[in-house]
Amino acid sequence: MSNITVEDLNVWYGDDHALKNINMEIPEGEVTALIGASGCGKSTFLRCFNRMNDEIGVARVEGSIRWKGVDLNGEDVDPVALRRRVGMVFQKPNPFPKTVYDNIAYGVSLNGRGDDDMDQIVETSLEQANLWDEVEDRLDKNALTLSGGQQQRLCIARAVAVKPDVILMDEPASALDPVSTQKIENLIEELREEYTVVVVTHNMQQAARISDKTAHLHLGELVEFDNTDKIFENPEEELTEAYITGRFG
Amino acid sequence: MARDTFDKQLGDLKAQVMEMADLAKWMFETGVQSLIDLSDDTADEVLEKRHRLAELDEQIEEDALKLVARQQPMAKDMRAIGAALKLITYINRIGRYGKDIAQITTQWDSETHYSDLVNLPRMVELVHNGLNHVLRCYHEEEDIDLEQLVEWEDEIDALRWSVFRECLTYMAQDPEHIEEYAYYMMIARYLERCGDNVCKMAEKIHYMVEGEHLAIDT
Repeated sequence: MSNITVEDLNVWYGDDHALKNINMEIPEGEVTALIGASGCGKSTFLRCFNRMNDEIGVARVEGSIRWKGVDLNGEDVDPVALRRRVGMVFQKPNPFPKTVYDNIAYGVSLNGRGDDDMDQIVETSLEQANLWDEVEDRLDKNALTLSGGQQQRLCIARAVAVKPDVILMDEPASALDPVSTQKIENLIEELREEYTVVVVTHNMQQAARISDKTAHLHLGELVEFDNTDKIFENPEEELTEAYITGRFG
Repeated sequence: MARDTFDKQLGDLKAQVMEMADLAKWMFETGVQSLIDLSDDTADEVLEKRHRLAELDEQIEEDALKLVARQQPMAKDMRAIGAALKLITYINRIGRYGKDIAQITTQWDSETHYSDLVNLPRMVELVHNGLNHVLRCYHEEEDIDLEQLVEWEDEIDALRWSVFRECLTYMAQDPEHIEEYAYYMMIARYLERCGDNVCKMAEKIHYMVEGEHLAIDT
């Protein structure tokens, strides 16, 4: 098993203690949802898995995230190499201002898979993202001409094209209409068969639908982490109950 | 509180369930009373109420489903709505057994009862006590001692078979009144089923309060 083990994880932004002593184990091959009120630290937590916090000058990270025998925060870990194994999809779709084809091919060739059959990689990745049928005749069109939902699935196709082990998603459907959201959720359902997925969401029903495990964070602390069915049916912690039933505050 | 409207709607739903439960309890108790008194007038009052019982059943189901669709409940809210949806089924059945007993009253040909109604009065008392207990727990959102309830249900079951055996004996001794004894046997069966429905209600109230599914072997 290649679970991701988080131990005594702390993150500061200057004096602001954003994550406090987080300990949990993200199971391999499952979808883990991170929920919590705005500012609770869930996006900060997500960024720890691919060292994106390194890009924030004032951020300081302590503790460990162990995966396949390596501490991801270790000095010997190359963040760029790590991000090839740990893909990320953001809240707003951010395709490159290039053709649909190049959006996939660019990352692949950067990752040294340029010798493989690129056409096949592009097709497979778009199929995995359930987008192929909609864009197979538009591969040479600018990706920015796609709808928001298609752009987001293109970003997911771009992430899976480099064959990562883990996919991080930061509110991947919050900017999309219900139909596009449904497609993203179906896609996450399919991705769990091959990838470990960690997803931040503000939508309780979405977390309940798509995830196997759910972690509730509040003011930088992990309040509760359990099977999703348990969290949404009968949580242990009153704070979790208050949050998911909308009686927070 | 952040969800005042939703809290009020949940309170209203619970009040509707209690209203339906009070009606079903009244139908049960009055149906039994009509039999004891052999009063067709009382029985007719019960029979008339079955329409109101069905109305409440439909109305509560509709309101509960609207809450699910509009409020997308989670955790204890979801359990409360889920429990309400199941409770009304059991409550409806208890009310309808009251109606069935009232119907027997209207079909009763004799002027009197036989063998002091065998053990039926004790069964009625047990169902009455059990129903009151689970409804109080529902209203107060208190857990129910399920072990105690199993003992209670066992006693009702035992009485039901005792009524059955006694009635068979009386039928042999007094064949002129076979029909009345057959009615007693039917009523014992209805009361036993009421006991089962009270147990089912208790399971759902336990789930609502504790978030744990438990089944009583009835």
